[in-house]
Amino acid sequence: MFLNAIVIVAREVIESALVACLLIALVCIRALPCRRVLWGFSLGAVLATLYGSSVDIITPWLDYRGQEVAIVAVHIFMVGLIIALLLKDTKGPLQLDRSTSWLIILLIGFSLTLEISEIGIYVGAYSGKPDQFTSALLGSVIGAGIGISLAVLGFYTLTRLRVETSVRVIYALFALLAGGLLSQCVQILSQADLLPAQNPAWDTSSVLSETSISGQLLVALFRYEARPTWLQVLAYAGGAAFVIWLTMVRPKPSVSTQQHLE
Amino acid sequence: MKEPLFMKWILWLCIFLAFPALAAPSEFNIRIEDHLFIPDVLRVPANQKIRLRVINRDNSSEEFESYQLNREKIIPGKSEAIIFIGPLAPGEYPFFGEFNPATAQGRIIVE
Repeated sequence: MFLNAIVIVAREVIESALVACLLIALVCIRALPCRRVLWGFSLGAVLATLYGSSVDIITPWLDYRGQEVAIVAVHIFMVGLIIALLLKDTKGPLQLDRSTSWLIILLIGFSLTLEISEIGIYVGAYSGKPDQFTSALLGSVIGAGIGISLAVLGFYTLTRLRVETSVRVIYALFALLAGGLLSQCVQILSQADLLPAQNPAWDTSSVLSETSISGQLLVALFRYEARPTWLQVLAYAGGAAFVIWLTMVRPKPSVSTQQHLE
Repeated sequence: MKEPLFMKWILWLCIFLAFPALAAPSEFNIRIEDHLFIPDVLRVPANQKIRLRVINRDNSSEEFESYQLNREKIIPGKSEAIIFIGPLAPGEYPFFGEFNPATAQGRIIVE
Protein backbone atom coordinates (compact mmCIF):
# COMPACT_ATOMS: atom_id res chain seq x y z
CA MET A 1 0.00 0.00 0.00
CA PHE A 2 2.95 2.27 0.75
CA LEU A 3 4.28 1.81 -2.81
CA ASN A 4 0.79 2.18 -4.23
CA ALA A 5 0.43 5.52 -2.44
CA ILE A 6 3.74 6.71 -3.88
CA VAL A 7 2.72 5.75 -7.44
CA ILE A 8 -0.81 7.20 -7.26
CA VAL A 9 0.20 10.48 -5.67
CA ALA A 10 3.32 10.95 -7.82
CA ARG A 11 1.20 10.42 -10.96
CA GLU A 12 -1.49 12.87 -9.84
CA VAL A 13 1.06 15.48 -8.80
CA ILE A 14 2.96 15.15 -12.10
CA GLU A 15 -0.32 15.55 -14.05
CA SER A 16 -1.10 18.87 -12.40
CA ALA A 17 2.52 19.95 -11.99
CA LEU A 18 3.09 19.96 -15.77
CA VAL A 19 0.68 22.89 -16.20
CA ALA A 20 2.15 24.70 -13.21
CA CYS A 21 5.70 24.08 -14.45
CA LEU A 22 4.93 25.41 -17.97
CA LEU A 23 3.06 28.42 -16.64
CA ILE A 24 5.66 29.39 -14.05
CA ALA A 25 8.38 29.04 -16.70
CA LEU A 26 6.40 31.31 -19.07
CA VAL A 27 5.74 33.79 -16.26
CA CYS A 28 9.46 33.91 -15.40
CA ILE A 29 10.52 34.21 -19.04
CA ARG A 30 8.12 37.15 -19.47
CA ALA A 31 9.37 38.62 -16.17
CA LEU A 32 5.91 38.74 -14.62
CA PRO A 33 5.49 38.65 -10.85
CA CYS A 34 4.91 35.16 -9.45
CA ARG A 35 2.22 36.27 -7.00
CA ARG A 36 -0.52 35.28 -9.48
CA VAL A 37 0.86 31.76 -9.50
CA LEU A 38 0.49 31.57 -5.72
CA TRP A 39 -3.12 32.76 -6.03
CA GLY A 40 -3.62 30.00 -8.59
CA PHE A 41 -2.34 27.42 -6.10
CA SER A 42 -4.72 28.82 -3.47
CA LEU A 43 -7.65 28.64 -5.90
CA GLY A 44 -6.65 25.07 -6.79
CA ALA A 45 -6.62 24.06 -3.11
CA VAL A 46 -10.09 25.55 -2.58
CA LEU A 47 -11.57 23.97 -5.75
CA ALA A 48 -9.97 20.59 -4.98
CA THR A 49 -11.43 20.65 -1.46
CA LEU A 50 -14.85 21.59 -2.82
CA TYR A 51 -14.82 18.91 -5.53
CA GLY A 52 -13.34 16.19 -3.30
CA SER A 53 -15.85 16.78 -0.54
CA SER A 54 -18.83 16.85 -2.89
CA VAL A 55 -17.93 13.99 -5.27
CA ASP A 56 -20.56 11.78 -3.60
CA ILE A 57 -23.18 14.46 -4.38
CA ILE A 58 -21.97 15.01 -7.95
CA THR A 59 -21.73 11.29 -8.86
CA PRO A 60 -25.50 10.55 -9.14
CA TRP A 61 -26.27 13.71 -11.13
CA LEU A 62 -27.55 13.30 -14.69
CA ASP A 63 -28.30 9.60 -14.25
CA TYR A 64 -24.89 8.88 -12.70
CA ARG A 65 -22.99 10.92 -15.27
CA GLY A 66 -22.18 13.76 -12.88
CA GLN A 67 -18.48 12.96 -12.40
CA GLU A 68 -17.87 12.58 -16.11
CA VAL A 69 -19.65 15.82 -17.02
CA ALA A 70 -17.79 17.73 -14.29
CA ILE A 71 -14.40 16.39 -15.40
CA VAL A 72 -15.07 17.11 -19.08
CA ALA A 73 -16.24 20.64 -18.20
CA VAL A 74 -12.98 21.27 -16.31
CA HIS A 75 -10.87 19.85 -19.15
CA ILE A 76 -12.65 21.86 -21.86
CA PHE A 77 -12.34 25.01 -19.75
CA MET A 78 -8.60 24.33 -19.33
CA VAL A 79 -8.13 23.89 -23.08
CA GLY A 80 -9.94 27.22 -23.59
CA LEU A 81 -7.64 28.91 -21.05
CA ILE A 82 -4.52 27.42 -22.69
CA ILE A 83 -5.64 28.71 -26.10
CA ALA A 84 -6.45 32.16 -24.69
CA LEU A 85 -3.10 32.36 -22.88
CA LEU A 86 -1.06 31.31 -25.92
CA LEU A 87 -2.99 33.66 -28.21
CA LYS A 88 -2.25 36.49 -25.83
CA ASP A 89 1.44 35.57 -25.66
CA THR A 90 1.83 35.18 -29.40
CA LYS A 91 0.34 38.65 -29.98
CA GLY A 92 3.25 40.04 -28.05
CA PRO A 93 4.96 38.88 -24.86
CA LEU A 94 2.51 38.54 -21.97
CA GLN A 95 1.96 41.78 -20.11
CA LEU A 96 0.73 41.98 -16.59
CA ASP A 97 -2.89 43.03 -16.99
CA ARG A 98 -6.11 41.84 -15.47
CA SER A 99 -6.91 39.21 -18.12
CA THR A 100 -3.40 37.71 -17.97
CA SER A 101 -3.62 37.51 -14.19
CA TRP A 102 -6.96 35.72 -14.38
CA LEU A 103 -5.73 33.33 -17.07
CA ILE A 104 -2.75 32.34 -14.89
CA ILE A 105 -4.82 32.01 -11.71
CA LEU A 106 -7.63 30.01 -13.35
CA LEU A 107 -5.34 27.73 -15.36
CA ILE A 108 -3.25 26.76 -12.33
CA GLY A 109 -6.34 26.52 -10.13
CA PHE A 110 -8.28 24.23 -12.46
CA SER A 111 -5.21 22.13 -13.32
CA LEU A 112 -4.88 21.29 -9.63
CA THR A 113 -8.56 20.70 -8.90
CA LEU A 114 -9.15 17.14 -10.09
CA GLU A 115 -5.73 15.70 -9.30
CA ILE A 116 -5.42 17.15 -5.80
CA SER A 117 -9.00 16.20 -4.97
CA GLU A 118 -8.20 12.62 -5.99
CA ILE A 119 -5.20 12.60 -3.66
CA GLY A 120 -7.48 13.89 -0.91
CA ILE A 121 -10.06 11.19 -1.62
CA TYR A 122 -7.32 8.54 -1.66
CA VAL A 123 -5.77 9.60 1.66
CA GLY A 124 -9.25 10.18 3.13
CA ALA A 125 -10.16 6.56 2.29
CA TYR A 126 -7.71 5.50 5.03
CA SER A 127 -8.68 8.09 7.63
CA GLY A 128 -10.64 5.54 9.67
CA LYS A 129 -7.74 3.06 9.76
CA PRO A 130 -4.85 4.54 11.76
CA ASP A 131 -2.42 1.70 10.92
CA GLN A 132 -2.90 2.09 7.15
CA PHE A 133 -3.37 5.87 7.25
CA THR A 134 0.26 6.44 8.28
CA SER A 135 1.52 4.34 5.37
CA ALA A 136 -0.82 6.06 2.92
CA LEU A 137 0.18 9.49 4.21
CA LEU A 138 3.90 8.76 4.17
CA GLY A 139 3.65 7.24 0.68
CA SER A 140 1.68 10.28 -0.45
CA VAL A 141 4.31 12.68 0.90
CA ILE A 142 7.07 10.79 -0.92
CA GLY A 143 4.94 10.59 -4.09
CA ALA A 144 4.24 14.32 -3.92
CA GLY A 145 7.96 14.91 -3.41
CA ILE A 146 8.80 12.92 -6.55
CA GLY A 147 6.16 14.79 -8.58
CA ILE A 148 7.27 18.21 -7.35
CA SER A 149 10.95 17.35 -7.91
CA LEU A 150 10.24 16.41 -11.53
CA ALA A 151 8.29 19.65 -11.99
CA VAL A 152 11.17 21.70 -10.55
CA LEU A 153 13.60 19.85 -12.82
CA GLY A 154 11.35 20.59 -15.80
CA PHE A 155 11.10 24.25 -14.79
CA TYR A 156 14.86 24.71 -14.52
CA THR A 157 15.43 22.88 -17.80
CA LEU A 158 12.94 25.15 -19.56
CA THR A 159 14.31 28.35 -18.07
CA ARG A 160 17.92 27.44 -18.85
CA LEU A 161 17.24 27.19 -22.60
CA ARG A 162 17.52 30.15 -24.96
CA VAL A 163 14.36 32.24 -24.57
CA GLU A 164 13.13 31.55 -28.10
CA THR A 165 13.71 27.80 -27.77
CA SER A 166 12.14 27.75 -24.34
CA VAL A 167 9.00 29.52 -25.56
CA ARG A 168 8.68 27.10 -28.48
CA VAL A 169 9.06 24.11 -26.18
CA ILE A 170 6.46 25.55 -23.79
CA TYR A 171 4.04 26.12 -26.69
CA ALA A 172 4.62 22.55 -27.94
CA LEU A 173 4.09 21.06 -24.47
CA PHE A 174 0.92 23.13 -24.01
CA ALA A 175 -0.27 21.80 -27.39
CA LEU A 176 0.33 18.19 -26.30
CA LEU A 177 -1.39 18.92 -23.01
CA ALA A 178 -4.45 20.35 -24.80
CA GLY A 179 -4.55 17.31 -27.11
CA GLY A 180 -4.28 14.96 -24.13
CA LEU A 181 -7.09 16.73 -22.30
CA LEU A 182 -9.38 16.52 -25.35
CA SER A 183 -8.54 12.85 -25.87
CA GLN A 184 -9.38 12.17 -22.24
CA CYS A 185 -12.68 14.02 -22.71
CA VAL A 186 -13.59 11.60 -25.50
CA GLN A 187 -12.78 8.59 -23.30
CA ILE A 188 -14.77 10.02 -20.36
CA LEU A 189 -17.79 10.88 -22.53
CA SER A 190 -17.70 7.36 -23.95
CA GLN A 191 -17.61 5.96 -20.40
CA ALA A 192 -20.77 7.99 -19.66
CA ASP A 193 -22.42 6.78 -22.90
CA LEU A 194 -22.50 10.34 -24.22
CA LEU A 195 -20.25 9.42 -27.16
CA PRO A 196 -20.30 6.14 -29.06
CA ALA A 197 -17.93 3.44 -27.83
CA GLN A 198 -15.30 2.27 -30.30
CA ASN A 199 -12.79 -0.51 -30.55
CA PRO A 200 -9.14 0.44 -29.91
CA ALA A 201 -7.33 1.82 -32.94
CA TRP A 202 -4.16 -0.02 -31.86
CA ASP A 203 -2.67 -1.73 -28.84
CA THR A 204 0.85 -0.80 -27.74
CA SER A 205 0.55 -2.33 -24.27
CA SER A 206 3.06 -5.04 -25.17
CA VAL A 207 5.60 -2.37 -26.17
CA LEU A 208 4.86 0.22 -23.52
CA SER A 209 2.41 -0.81 -20.84
CA GLU A 210 0.48 1.83 -18.89
CA THR A 211 1.40 -0.06 -15.72
CA SER A 212 5.17 0.30 -16.25
CA ILE A 213 7.01 3.24 -14.68
CA SER A 214 7.70 4.87 -18.06
CA GLY A 215 4.08 4.20 -19.06
CA GLN A 216 2.78 5.80 -15.85
CA LEU A 217 5.04 8.80 -16.47
CA LEU A 218 3.70 9.20 -20.02
CA VAL A 219 0.12 8.81 -18.75
CA ALA A 220 0.75 11.57 -16.22
CA LEU A 221 2.53 13.90 -18.63
CA PHE A 222 0.79 13.37 -21.95
CA ARG A 223 -2.29 11.21 -21.17
CA TYR A 224 -0.67 8.25 -22.93
CA GLU A 225 -3.05 5.39 -23.67
CA ALA A 226 -1.98 2.01 -24.98
CA ARG A 227 -5.41 1.34 -26.52
CA PRO A 228 -6.86 4.62 -27.78
CA THR A 229 -9.92 4.70 -30.02
CA TRP A 230 -9.79 6.52 -33.36
CA LEU A 231 -11.99 9.26 -31.89
CA GLN A 232 -9.44 9.77 -29.11
CA VAL A 233 -6.58 9.84 -31.62
CA LEU A 234 -8.48 12.41 -33.68
CA ALA A 235 -9.18 14.54 -30.61
CA TYR A 236 -5.55 14.35 -29.48
CA ALA A 237 -3.99 15.07 -32.85
CA GLY A 238 -6.62 17.66 -33.80
CA GLY A 239 -6.36 19.50 -30.48
CA ALA A 240 -2.56 19.55 -30.48
CA ALA A 241 -2.35 20.53 -34.16
CA PHE A 242 -4.89 23.32 -33.65
CA VAL A 243 -2.94 24.83 -30.74
CA ILE A 244 0.35 24.58 -32.65
CA TRP A 245 -1.28 26.20 -35.68
CA LEU A 246 -2.62 29.03 -33.51
CA THR A 247 0.84 29.76 -32.17
CA MET A 248 2.38 29.66 -35.64
CA VAL A 249 -0.06 31.80 -37.61
CA ARG A 250 0.02 34.68 -35.14
CA PRO A 251 2.81 37.26 -35.21
CA LYS A 252 5.87 35.92 -33.46
CA PRO A 253 6.48 37.36 -30.00
CA SER A 254 9.46 39.47 -29.31
CA VAL A 255 11.72 37.07 -27.49
CA SER A 256 14.36 39.58 -26.69
CA THR A 257 12.36 41.02 -23.83
CA GLN A 258 14.52 39.84 -21.02
CA GLN A 259 16.55 37.00 -19.84
CA HIS A 260 15.18 35.09 -16.94
CA LEU A 261 16.31 33.60 -13.69
CA GLU A 262 19.84 34.57 -13.21
CA MET B 1 -56.16 13.85 -47.68
CA LYS B 2 -52.89 15.47 -46.75
CA GLU B 3 -51.89 14.82 -43.13
CA PRO B 4 -50.88 17.82 -41.05
CA LEU B 5 -47.16 18.51 -40.84
CA PHE B 6 -47.16 18.48 -37.03
CA MET B 7 -48.30 14.82 -37.11
CA LYS B 8 -45.07 13.91 -38.86
CA TRP B 9 -43.12 15.84 -36.27
CA ILE B 10 -44.93 14.05 -33.43
CA LEU B 11 -44.19 10.71 -35.08
CA TRP B 12 -40.48 11.57 -35.39
CA LEU B 13 -40.43 12.80 -31.81
CA CYS B 14 -41.96 9.51 -30.59
CA ILE B 15 -39.37 7.52 -32.54
CA PHE B 16 -36.58 9.74 -31.20
CA LEU B 17 -37.78 9.39 -27.59
CA ALA B 18 -38.37 5.66 -27.90
CA PHE B 19 -34.95 4.98 -29.41
CA PRO B 20 -32.93 5.15 -26.17
CA ALA B 21 -35.41 2.80 -24.47
CA LEU B 22 -35.16 0.30 -27.32
CA ALA B 23 -31.39 0.52 -27.25
CA ALA B 24 -31.15 0.45 -23.44
CA PRO B 25 -28.12 -1.64 -22.50
CA SER B 26 -28.31 -4.57 -20.10
CA GLU B 27 -27.38 -3.72 -16.54
CA PHE B 28 -24.96 -5.74 -14.42
CA ASN B 29 -24.13 -5.15 -10.76
CA ILE B 30 -20.88 -5.45 -8.87
CA ARG B 31 -20.52 -4.73 -5.15
CA ILE B 32 -17.47 -3.56 -3.26
CA GLU B 33 -17.36 -5.05 0.24
CA ASP B 34 -14.31 -5.08 2.51
CA HIS B 35 -12.24 -3.89 -0.47
CA LEU B 36 -13.26 -6.89 -2.58
CA PHE B 37 -15.29 -6.94 -5.79
CA ILE B 38 -18.30 -9.26 -5.49
CA PRO B 39 -18.63 -11.09 -7.76
CA ASP B 40 -15.02 -10.92 -8.87
CA VAL B 41 -15.87 -12.56 -12.18
CA LEU B 42 -18.68 -11.12 -14.26
CA ARG B 43 -19.86 -12.83 -17.45
CA VAL B 44 -21.40 -10.53 -20.05
CA PRO B 45 -22.53 -11.00 -23.65
CA ALA B 46 -20.22 -10.06 -26.51
CA ASN B 47 -20.89 -7.15 -28.86
CA GLN B 48 -23.36 -5.47 -26.53
CA LYS B 49 -23.15 -2.28 -24.58
CA ILE B 50 -23.23 -2.93 -20.82
CA ARG B 51 -24.37 -0.64 -18.03
CA LEU B 52 -22.23 -1.64 -15.05
CA ARG B 53 -23.56 -0.51 -11.67
CA VAL B 54 -20.80 -0.53 -9.05
CA ILE B 55 -22.19 -0.43 -5.51
CA ASN B 56 -19.66 0.52 -2.85
CA ARG B 57 -20.79 -0.81 0.53
CA ASP B 58 -17.55 0.18 2.25
CA ASN B 59 -17.29 3.46 4.11
CA SER B 60 -14.23 4.48 2.12
CA SER B 61 -14.05 5.52 -1.52
CA GLU B 62 -12.64 3.25 -4.20
CA GLU B 63 -11.52 3.89 -7.77
CA PHE B 64 -12.74 1.40 -10.35
CA GLU B 65 -10.00 1.12 -12.95
CA SER B 66 -9.32 -1.03 -15.98
CA TYR B 67 -6.62 -0.45 -18.56
CA GLN B 68 -8.13 -3.07 -20.88
CA LEU B 69 -11.58 -1.51 -20.71
CA ASN B 70 -10.18 2.02 -20.75
CA ARG B 71 -12.31 2.96 -17.76
CA GLU B 72 -11.63 4.86 -14.54
CA LYS B 73 -14.14 6.20 -12.03
CA ILE B 74 -14.25 7.07 -8.34
CA ILE B 75 -16.95 5.24 -6.41
CA PRO B 76 -17.59 7.18 -3.18
CA GLY B 77 -18.10 5.22 0.03
CA LYS B 78 -21.66 4.03 0.77
CA SER B 79 -22.61 5.05 -2.72
CA GLU B 80 -22.90 3.71 -6.25
CA ALA B 81 -21.94 4.70 -9.77
CA ILE B 82 -22.63 3.66 -13.34
CA ILE B 83 -19.97 2.86 -15.92
CA PHE B 84 -20.83 2.06 -19.53
CA ILE B 85 -18.62 -0.49 -21.22
CA GLY B 86 -18.56 -2.18 -24.59
CA PRO B 87 -19.63 -3.41 -27.04
CA LEU B 88 -16.72 -5.77 -26.43
CA ALA B 89 -15.16 -8.63 -28.36
CA PRO B 90 -15.07 -11.99 -26.57
CA GLY B 91 -12.22 -12.22 -24.09
CA GLU B 92 -11.12 -11.39 -20.56
CA TYR B 93 -10.94 -7.83 -19.28
CA PRO B 94 -9.38 -7.41 -15.81
CA PHE B 95 -10.31 -4.51 -13.55
CA PHE B 96 -9.13 -3.43 -10.10
CA GLY B 97 -9.69 -0.98 -7.31
CA GLU B 98 -6.85 1.49 -7.52
CA PHE B 99 -7.01 2.39 -3.83
CA ASN B 100 -6.81 -1.28 -2.74
CA PRO B 101 -5.17 -3.16 -5.63
CA ALA B 102 -3.95 -5.97 -3.37
CA THR B 103 -7.51 -7.16 -2.71
CA ALA B 104 -9.89 -5.41 -5.10
CA GLN B 105 -9.34 -7.41 -8.29
CA GLY B 106 -11.87 -8.71 -10.79
CA ARG B 107 -12.44 -9.82 -14.35
CA ILE B 108 -15.14 -9.31 -16.91
CA ILE B 109 -15.47 -12.32 -19.17
CA VAL B 110 -17.11 -11.46 -22.45
CA GLU B 111 -18.58 -14.48 -24.26
